[in-house]
Amino acid sequence: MVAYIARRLATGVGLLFLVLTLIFFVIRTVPGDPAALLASGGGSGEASPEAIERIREQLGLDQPLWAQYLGYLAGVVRGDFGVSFQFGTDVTPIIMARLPNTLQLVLGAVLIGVTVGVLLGIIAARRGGVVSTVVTAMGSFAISVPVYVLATVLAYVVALQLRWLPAGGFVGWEDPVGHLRILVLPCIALAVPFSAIVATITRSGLVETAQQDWVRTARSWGLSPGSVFGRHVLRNSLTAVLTIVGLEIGLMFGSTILVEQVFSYPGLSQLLIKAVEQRDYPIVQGVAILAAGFFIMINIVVDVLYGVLDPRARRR
Amino acid sequence: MHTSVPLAGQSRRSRIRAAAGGVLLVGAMTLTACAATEATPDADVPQVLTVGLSGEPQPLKVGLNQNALGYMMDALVAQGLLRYGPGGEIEPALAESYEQVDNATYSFTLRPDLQFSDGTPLTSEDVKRTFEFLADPANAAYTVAGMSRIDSITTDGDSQLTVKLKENDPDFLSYVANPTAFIVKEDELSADATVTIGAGPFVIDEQVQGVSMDLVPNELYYDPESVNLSKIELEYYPDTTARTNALLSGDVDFIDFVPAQDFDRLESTPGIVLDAQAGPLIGLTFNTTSGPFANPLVREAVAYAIDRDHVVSAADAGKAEPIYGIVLGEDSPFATEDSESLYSYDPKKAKELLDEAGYPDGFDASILTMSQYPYHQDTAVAVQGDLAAVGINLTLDSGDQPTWVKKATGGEFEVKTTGGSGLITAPSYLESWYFANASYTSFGYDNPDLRAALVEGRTAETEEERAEAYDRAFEIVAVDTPRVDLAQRYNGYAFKDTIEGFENLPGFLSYYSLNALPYLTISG
Amino acid sequence: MKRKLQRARDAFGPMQVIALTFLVLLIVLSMVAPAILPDPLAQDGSHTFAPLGTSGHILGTDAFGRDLLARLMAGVRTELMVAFATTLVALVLGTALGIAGAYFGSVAETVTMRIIVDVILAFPPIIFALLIVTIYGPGPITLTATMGVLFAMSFARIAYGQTLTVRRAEYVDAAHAYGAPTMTILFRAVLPNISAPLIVQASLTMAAAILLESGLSFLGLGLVPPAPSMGSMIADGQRYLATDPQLILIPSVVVVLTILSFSLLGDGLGRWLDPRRRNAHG
Repeated sequence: MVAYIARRLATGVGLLFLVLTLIFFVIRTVPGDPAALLASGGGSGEASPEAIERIREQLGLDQPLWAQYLGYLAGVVRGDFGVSFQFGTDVTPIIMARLPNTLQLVLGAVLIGVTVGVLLGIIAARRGGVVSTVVTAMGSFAISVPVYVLATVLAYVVALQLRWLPAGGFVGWEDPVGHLRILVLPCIALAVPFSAIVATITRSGLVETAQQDWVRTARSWGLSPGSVFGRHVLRNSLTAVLTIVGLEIGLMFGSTILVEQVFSYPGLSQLLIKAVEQRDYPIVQGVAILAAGFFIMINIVVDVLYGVLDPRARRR
Repeated sequence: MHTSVPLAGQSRRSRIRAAAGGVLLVGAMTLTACAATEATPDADVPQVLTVGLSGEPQPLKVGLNQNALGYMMDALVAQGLLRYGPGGEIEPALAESYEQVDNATYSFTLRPDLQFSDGTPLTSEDVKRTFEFLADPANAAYTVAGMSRIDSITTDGDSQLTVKLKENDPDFLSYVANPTAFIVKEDELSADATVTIGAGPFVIDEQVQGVSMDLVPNELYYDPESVNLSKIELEYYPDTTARTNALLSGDVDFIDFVPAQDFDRLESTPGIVLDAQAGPLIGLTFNTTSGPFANPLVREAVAYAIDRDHVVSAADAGKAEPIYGIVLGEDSPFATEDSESLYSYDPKKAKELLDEAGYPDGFDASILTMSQYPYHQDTAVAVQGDLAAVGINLTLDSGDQPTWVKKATGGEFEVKTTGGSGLITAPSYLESWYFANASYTSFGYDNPDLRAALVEGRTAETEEERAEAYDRAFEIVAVDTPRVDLAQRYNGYAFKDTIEGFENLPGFLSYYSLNALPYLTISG
Repeated sequence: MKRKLQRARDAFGPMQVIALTFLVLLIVLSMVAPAILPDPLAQDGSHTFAPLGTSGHILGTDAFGRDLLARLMAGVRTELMVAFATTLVALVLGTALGIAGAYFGSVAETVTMRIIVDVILAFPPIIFALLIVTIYGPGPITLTATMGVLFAMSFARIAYGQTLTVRRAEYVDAAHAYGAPTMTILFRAVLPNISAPLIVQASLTMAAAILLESGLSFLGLGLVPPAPSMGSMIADGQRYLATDPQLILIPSVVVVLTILSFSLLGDGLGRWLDPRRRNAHG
């Protein structure tokens, strides 16, 4: 098992290196010159060629591509991801300041999604019949609503019409209530499709487990249905939920781009979009590497979990 | 009580016409909307202003055009000799007084004992150094057109300063009053430096990258009495809808760049004031080096083929003024009936011109535009619709702004949507519209006669000579159609009605309106 | 035959029937729309923001005075075409990668599954699309290619897993023994036996492609205007949410129903083709 994890981690690092290389060269083929943008104050003015050339030198963009690449690699090995073109400061603290914001969105959504999803799944499985059909139908519907439509409608109805919550923006942790209030709507927008998936998985897992022989055996031993359900059936089904959380977290990370846009929430995606717009290569590289690292880690964790749950998978 | 600007009917038209005109003349009449702003702060009301901004201001650079957010930061943490006050009137800032000796000589007297926010004295030497820096084309300053006309600067003591120009520029003060022409400390006077210390009314207290910036009053500011706010909180809402929502839900007190679609909604919301002015232009510029648009007749046909009202309603939600000529404002002494209506909406004439140009069946071309700014893209779509009617079939080439900039400067386009605002409101702004390689000129376009006429219009000694030269320039424009302006868009700010002292500046100056931010007051 | 029918009836409940009916109706409507509806690109400056039920414009018009129903139908048509093309690209590319990886052993496996698939899966999909579209410019080709590559990775994983199990099956060994050419084995013996989960995945991919396309269009990374697409119509409509809510609501509802229908069909297909899952439905 340890050897397996080590091997996966090693391939993970290799993958990260490939991603880094790819993104480094790909972003440089995007049309548009960062030096010209900077020299003209964000693209509106007209910069003199001297000014552009000076900034290009300053950013090191006048060097040959391979030299830039080697320089970047040398920095990355030392944990230095370069200096942002836009802000003129180190990339790492800029990204690290945004990372918690996006993680909070995702974690909040997972928390809401799992709680609501599991509850609905249990209700559907235990009640069966009409309730089950209704939950299933609602679930299919919830999965089909694009997250940006949901976000827009939530902002309009809950924030503007009902005025229950803020319509966007950001408040730091120094005002915890304000901070949480900001998080509620974007988290719900992310959580709705997710909870639908969790509910479906929970329900089918429960139904399937309940038909297993050992459950019937347990019942026949006279254990109360409630105790059989709570202690055996539910626990057995939750492993499937855990796996789906791992798989869906990655997708949700992608969806934050839309939610952060609608709520003007200062997360990683907003940083990335702005950085692409400004051709701020170091930030784009930094965010892409971070995101890739995150995805690779999740994949490893999911695979390892699989291995723990199902020894047959380990041999692969 | 503020009254919002009427945006419908006859009154709008007159106001807007006036707004685009000469600065001094307009000042008096636009004041009426927001007069009596000399409010004393209510002791019980906390003087903290929360602003929902359209983006994060970039680190401040010397003299660069860093957009409306940059102008705002310029005016908050730094200060020039002059600035634009209510109505767009030029008023003294670091300079206590100034005199236009003649059209090529200007003298300034600084206020006594000026200091930068770190306590360093600010003297006439700092001003001289800053102006010389701005005048150097290598430094890419926004005001370089005006500043590079400086021949010499002589200082007399710490507070006296005389600027001599190489040639006449009756509007030199407009460059001095530009927010980007703020005075910089000696050790920060470099194109690579980020300006952190200025002589402005506020200093940056705290900033969270990507989220917000807090500013507090600068204790060393020369006129602390004019500052009533104890704190300004800038919060970033890049999404237009989110920004409007933030004001409507009460999260912020003030927002910039109100989307035209939200004007009516904000205007009809009790407790919210919308102040909009027709300012920036949107139009078409061409690649005049090759293809059908190299032919002036084709460009003229385009000018006749587009229904400006259609553009205005489709791309600007009706919140723009249709433009069929050169924007000078009807109060401008140089505006004539001809200059305002060089063209009209006349598809039949457009077809005749195309016939004459050798394109009786029209042609196919592409139009470059930006996907980031809906008004750019929507303008392109509206233009596409109108030009299809005369046989010019356009395909949209829409990417993000850097792609647009790259293709625009490299001439990789046939026709493109171009937004823009004059640096100053005087007609010499047209030099950046029609001079070869200027910011807003069509790619490859150059006409020495037009250049000569525009320069003469600025430098001639008498008003008559100037008017005559400008008339000549407009005639050349009518023949050449170097670019096609379509609409003058409203730039709107919206705020709670408890905010006192804000006034959107008229015409091109609208983007400088956040100059007033430091001096606002909040009432109960 | 009778058992097959019974199985199909179990798998496709009333929801699936409704979904299929809706999709067929939508496709037929969007195909005949050009013949009976106004030009979706025709602008009419004097008829902007016409409300629902206006004569000649049943669903009203937008800011350019374009007929909303015509745009909706044109949007549906492009949407479905892009989604279908994406699914096809993903299916072919992914299956090829997966089979190659599983069938040809270690080197091929490393290249396809470990390098290509894992590297692409290491990017969040929207970030990947954002970069590609910024480079190549928006448009249906870029969109189809980008999404096709993205979704191909799930097909590759499924095909890889399935081929691994099938590779050692007796009928494959038998074909080998008879000296059948590799291509024949792949197409005759392997492909038919791994196709069921791939077909299910294809139906789900249609839904996912529509979702992603509309999301990209919402960010301005989809189709180039004035060509209508669901996402850009929703993004445009968002600006008029307070004054003309139908501009965002109608396309939103159509998108939701389309995605819903495809995922319902996918569920049905899944149950039909995979008998083990029938019980799960309860």
